[in-house]
Formats: sequence, C-alpha cells, structure tokens
Amino acid sequence: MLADARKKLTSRRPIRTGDEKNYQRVLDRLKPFQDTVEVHQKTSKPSSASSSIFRAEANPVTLPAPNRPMAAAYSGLDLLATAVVALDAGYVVRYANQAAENLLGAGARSLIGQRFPGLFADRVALESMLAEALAVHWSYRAQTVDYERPGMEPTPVSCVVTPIDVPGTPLLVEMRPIQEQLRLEREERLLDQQEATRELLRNLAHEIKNPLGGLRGSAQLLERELERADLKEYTQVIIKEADRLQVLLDRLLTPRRAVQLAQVNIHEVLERVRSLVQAEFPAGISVLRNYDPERAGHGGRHRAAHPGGPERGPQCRPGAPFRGECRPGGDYRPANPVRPAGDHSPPAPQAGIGIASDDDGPGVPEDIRDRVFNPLVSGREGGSGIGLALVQTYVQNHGGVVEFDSRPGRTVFTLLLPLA
Amino acid sequence: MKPVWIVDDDRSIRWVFEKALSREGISYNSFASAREALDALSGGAPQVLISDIRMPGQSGIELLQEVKEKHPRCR
Repeated sequence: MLADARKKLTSRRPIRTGDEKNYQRVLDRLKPFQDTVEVHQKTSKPSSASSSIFRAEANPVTLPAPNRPMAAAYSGLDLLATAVVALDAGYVVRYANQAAENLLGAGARSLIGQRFPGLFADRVALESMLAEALAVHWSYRAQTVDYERPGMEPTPVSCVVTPIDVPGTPLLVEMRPIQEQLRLEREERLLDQQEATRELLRNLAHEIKNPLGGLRGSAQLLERELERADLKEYTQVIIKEADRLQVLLDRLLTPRRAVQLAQVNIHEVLERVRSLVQAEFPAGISVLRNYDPERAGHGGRHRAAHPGGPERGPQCRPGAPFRGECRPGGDYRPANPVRPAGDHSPPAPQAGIGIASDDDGPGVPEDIRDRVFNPLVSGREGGSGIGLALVQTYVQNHGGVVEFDSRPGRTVFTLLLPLA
Repeated sequence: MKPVWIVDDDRSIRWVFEKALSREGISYNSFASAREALDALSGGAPQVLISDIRMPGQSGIELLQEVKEKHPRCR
C-alpha cells in the first residue's frame, strides 16, 4: 500500500512543466533524511536506494521524530510548484509548503494549527472527503472547493488527498488553482453555444427569405394591377417592410462569407470608424484618440473587423468623451488555440494589437452579459442585437478575440488581433 | 422562343415568377426541384434558367453546372 501511494504520488502527471524535475529534486533532497531514519530504526528492513519520505511510512516510530520540527521533515516539499499541506487526523494543518502559502495567501505560521476544511466555503463536503480518504485509505481523491478569504472573491481550488502512513500527519493534500481552467472552460462553452445559436439563426434566416421573396413579389405584381394611386400606398408598405426584413436577414447571413485577408492600415480603419460614429452622433459626442505611433502605417494583413457601418456605436452620455485606443497587444492569446485534449493551460501568447474603446454609458446589463455576443440580444432600446454578434464573428474569423469589461459609467470593449 | 425555366422548392416564389412572366407573355416551365428540371432537360434546353440555390436534394449550383455541360448556350 505504501509503495502504491508513493508510486501514485510520484508518477502523477506533472501539474506544469518543470514539476518532473521538482519531484526528482524532492526525492534527492530526502535521501539524507532517509539515512537518518534508518540510523534510528535499527530493526527496520534495509530500504532501497529510491526510498523517500514515504518509504518511512513503513517505520511509523521514526517519522517524524517527536522532537523533529514538522517543517524540517517535509522541507523537501518546498521545492514543489504544487501547493501541499499535511494534516493530522483532526484535519488540522501541520505543515504547508511554500507553494501552499502562495496559493492560500497566508504564511505557514498562520496556516499551521487551523482546521483545513474551515478554510473553504464547502467545508462539509471537504471534511467528508477527508474522512472517507482516511477511512478507506484510498490513494487520493479530487474535488473542487472554493477557498475563502475575508474581503476577497472565493478562489476555486482542486484538492487531491493522499492518505499516508505517517504518524501525526496521515493526510497529504495537494491543491491546484483552477480559476484559469474554469474560465477557459466557461469561455469555450459560451463560444460553442454562440456558434450553435448563429447556425440556427442562419438556417432560420434562409428559411424566412424564401416566403419573404414571395410576399414582396406578390406585392409588386399587385401594385401593377392597381389603378388608383392611393391604393399603391398599401403595397408600398408591404414592399418596404419586406425590404427591411431582407436587410436584417442579409446581415444575419453575412458572416458566412469567406474572409479575404488584405494589407490594411489599422489607423485608417479606426479613423473611418471615428468619422462614422461622429456622423451618427453629430452633436454631443467627443472622441479621444490614443494611437500607438509605432503602429502608424503598419500594414497588418487583416481586413477591418468592420464591414460597413459602426456595428456597435459608443453609448455615452451626451457631450461626454468616448475614448478609442490602439496599443500593442503584447500578451495577446489566440481565441481558439489547438490544444491536446484535457490540456487547459493558457494558450501561448503571440504578437498582436489591441484596439480598445471606452465609453461612459450605462454599461451592458448584468442579465445579458453572458449572452451579449449572441445574435438578437441587445441591451439597448431599439437595438437589433446584430452588431456585437457580427463583431465577434469577424474578429474570430481573423483569429482574434473580443472581450469587454462593463459597469455603469465605464464600458471597455477590447479587440485583440494577431499580427500577420 | 424557348421557355424560361423556374426551379424553386418554394411554391410562392414560383407563383410570383409565373405571374410576372405571364404578364409579359413569356412562356415558362416550373419545377419544384433540381431533379425534376434535369429530367426535363432531355426534352430540350431552356432559354433562361432561374433557380434557387438552396434546395432539398441537388442544389441550384449543381443544377446549373449540369445544364451548362449539356447546353453551353443556356444562360
């Protein structure tokens, strides 16, 4: 059982690059400790060269020695990038490595002596997991729990518990922050939902176009038959409304067009957007520009993510400034990177530019924030709900991402586009 | 003059074209699918072919390709 526990701990897939080396360094560092154990344990069987702290589990009387500080016994674990705590049978923290101190944002002195489940929001579930692991002596279990600190947002943490036969500390808990992983999973799920919604709408739009054509054509034929001019007013209403619907449907169907990459000066595109915005709001809006001079004249191989008019105009208070910014996107990360299954690590950064717009309007309503990029979802009175869906589609077609941060009085939309 | 062919799975669209062509005194043939039109092709080519693109079975593009192969002068 001890051999199994050690094997599982040491052969577990590294959490991130470099951990393999760290595990080996831990084992190396613990060799002298093992020798010490054997000196004291004259009756113990000779251990193999690869024995580690967990080998000492076979000799419960010697590890850790009563007068040996727990930190010294586990000091090798400080080399790990993985957060590890050792618990006693009452689930009280007896040791926390440096990674655990960093993750939990507290020093070992304050952690040691605290009941481990008490640090988390779902302490009952965690306590039951620890009890079960201890009772059945299963090698480890994983569970996601929220770590709580006063005045801060709960941090989701994945816990792996390993029962070990070490007197005083029968449980070893590894913790991994999974906030980034959860965020990526949520974003991927949202993107999938948005794509499914768009596909549905494309099909629906196509199906509506056909009867609409019949409707418009019939009105045109009818108009030719009408002799009284005043009656033609009725057919004109039908034709105009059919045309309005046609425009809407064409816009829904637009993103299917293939992307045609071409050299473009991003500042020219932004200037065009600015002139359109100012034409749409002739009075009472000022536009502040903040362009990165190094990007002036840069010919990125990207078509503007802006097919014709401003799909999402700024939503400022009358007379208030609207700020536009173009900056190097040094930490740009691709939206849909190709990753091996199960790999939730953040995508590698690549060179890109960031285009941010900042307005002081009412912001995106809380209840539509998860759906704001879906077609036909709008928080603006009279809004078509097409603009942001189109923006996202165009940006994604260019391998970029569009994200936003919104609260009443300040909304920032940022487009991150990779450079060719 | 050869007839104009109308190919569309939507009845209302066919109806509008039929009415408009009748008004102008132009002869026409209507088909509800690309398959029906292709079957009729052995009996003679149309002067002009008006077709929907997205239809069940063969698409309008596939229909036009076959018609062009067999009757290059058809518009």
